[in-house]
Amino acid sequence: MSATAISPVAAVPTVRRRRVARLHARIGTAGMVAVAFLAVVALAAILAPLIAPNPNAEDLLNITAGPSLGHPLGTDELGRNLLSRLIWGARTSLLGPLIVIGAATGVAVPVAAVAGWRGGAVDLAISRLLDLMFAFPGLLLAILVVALYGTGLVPCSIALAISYMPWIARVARSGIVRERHKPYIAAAEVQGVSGFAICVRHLIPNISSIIWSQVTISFGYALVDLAALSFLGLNIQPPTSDWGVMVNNENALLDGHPVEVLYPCLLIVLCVTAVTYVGNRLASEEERRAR
Amino acid sequence: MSAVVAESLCKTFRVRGEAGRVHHEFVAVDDVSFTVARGASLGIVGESGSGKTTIARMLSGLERASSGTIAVADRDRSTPVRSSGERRRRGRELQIVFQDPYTSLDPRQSVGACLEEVLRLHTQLDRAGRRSRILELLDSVGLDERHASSLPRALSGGQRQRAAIARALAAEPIVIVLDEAVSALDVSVQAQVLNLLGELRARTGVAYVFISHNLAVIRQVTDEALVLRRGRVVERGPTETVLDAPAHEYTQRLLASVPVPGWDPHAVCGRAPAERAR
Ligand SMILES: Nc1ncnc2c1ncn2[C@@H]1O[C@H](COP(=O)(O)OP(=O)(O)OP(=O)(O)O)[C@@H](O)[C@H]1O
Ligand SMILES: [Mg+2]
Repeated sequence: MSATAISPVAAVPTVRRRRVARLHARIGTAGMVAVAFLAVVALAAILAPLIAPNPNAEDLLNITAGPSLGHPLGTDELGRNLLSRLIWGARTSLLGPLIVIGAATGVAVPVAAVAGWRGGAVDLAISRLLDLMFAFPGLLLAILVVALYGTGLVPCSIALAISYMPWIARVARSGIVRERHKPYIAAAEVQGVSGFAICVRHLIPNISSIIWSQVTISFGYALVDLAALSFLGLNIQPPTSDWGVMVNNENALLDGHPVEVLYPCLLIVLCVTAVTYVGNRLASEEERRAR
Repeated sequence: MSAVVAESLCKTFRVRGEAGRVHHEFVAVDDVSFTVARGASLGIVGESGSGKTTIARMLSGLERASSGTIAVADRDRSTPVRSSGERRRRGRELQIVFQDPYTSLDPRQSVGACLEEVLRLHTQLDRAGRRSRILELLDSVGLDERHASSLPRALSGGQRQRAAIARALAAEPIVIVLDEAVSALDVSVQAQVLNLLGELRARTGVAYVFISHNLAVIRQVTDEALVLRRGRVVERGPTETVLDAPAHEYTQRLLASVPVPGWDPHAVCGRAPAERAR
């Protein structure tokens, strides 16, 4: 519907630039730096097979070596390339929270939509059920699931997803309740649009910023929880590289080679800080707008 | 055939007291009946809280009547919809325009997309057909092609209300309920939208149920009027008669509360100036 002089070709970058500008207005320069950092880490994780050599290749002539051209961050006590292990480790370390938050959000948003849309007894029942789920600490649930189904990323992620779901659902529900009684929703009802279509086309898109802020904050928590589970030996198993696994390396500390523990620690802290900062900025911006 | 027949409409709200447990019942609409002929325009006036919006919500199915019946185009709509077909059919029979132009459009949907959604729901038009119909609708409410791609936030209050009217017209309903549809607009814009409404009715034969507390507005766009007080009809008749020769004391007071030269607010409130100043 472009009656204006802008050609479709020129319009695309304009839209993207406007979207970047809008994000910048909401999360600030520090937020944009955080997003850029996360993008670099995510890109490295995705491109790991192309940019990083085998993280398990042992170079026994070069153990606990310092930085060199072949090993930019040096090697660990088995002579494995540290940078390579960090990059490959980013894959499991970021994939885990992605699964947790993806699954939790995928369940939470429809649940919240049903509660907020139907209201009354349905809302009450769902809200009580969510209250009940809040009582389960995520890590304990994960330990229980691992005890039953064995270690690994999948059982840990599912357990954490279950415990994260009510947090996201509660925030989404309150957003939907707030939006539900606005006249544009009533207008769609009077038009004869189905409840499902109203939720999918109008309600959920209009609370997407609330959901995004909760999702980003939860992502940081999930990253820490999964790293903790790896550290406890319940999640990713060595020798697979994972930041949590790499942190759990007392030999390195005893041998006086702490960098191989420090690097993954630093990455975890930086990623969590970046993602939580962006989430908090989105949330406070949302609060400001709601008022 | 009548556009709207409402018989003995009642609405009782259960109000929760401060303690949370103590209920009491509040009668917002009490035994209201009216008929709107095809192409006619009925005004509903009354002070704030007299039940006007509640009637609009019952007519449009947003609220269920406690008792009484509503029929639009001789089809009953007192009970909740049972099928999606029936829900769409009701949408093609009656549409509503709300007071607040700032919240009655989806902030994320362009005006064109909003109309497109309605046309997809109610017509079998193909892409090109919908597109030309959208332009036609925009034109009929005094908007143009440029506004199709605008988000509501890029439009003025008057333009938004025009877009909301275009949305209500899109399904070619038999009747449109307008609940204080011009009250949030400033006076010159109000006049434009009222003219537009008159024109549209003459051209399309749509009927209006026009709700307002503004008597001048009621006079301009309605043939008949109904005066509501605390949920009850206190007076009804041709708009001119009701406004020029009110029989009921309440209507006289409503008329007296319209600021005109020589207007005395204290007389309207029925209190002495000294008492007011206290
Ligand atoms: N959901 C509800 N629960 C309880 N009471 C309600 C509810 N909706 C409306 N009421 C009450 O019903 C009465 C009529 O309200 P309504 O909104 O129909 O008035 P109105 O004539 O539209 O007033 P206004 O001119 O201010 O818009 C009011 O006293 C209101 O407090
Ligand atoms: Mg009202």
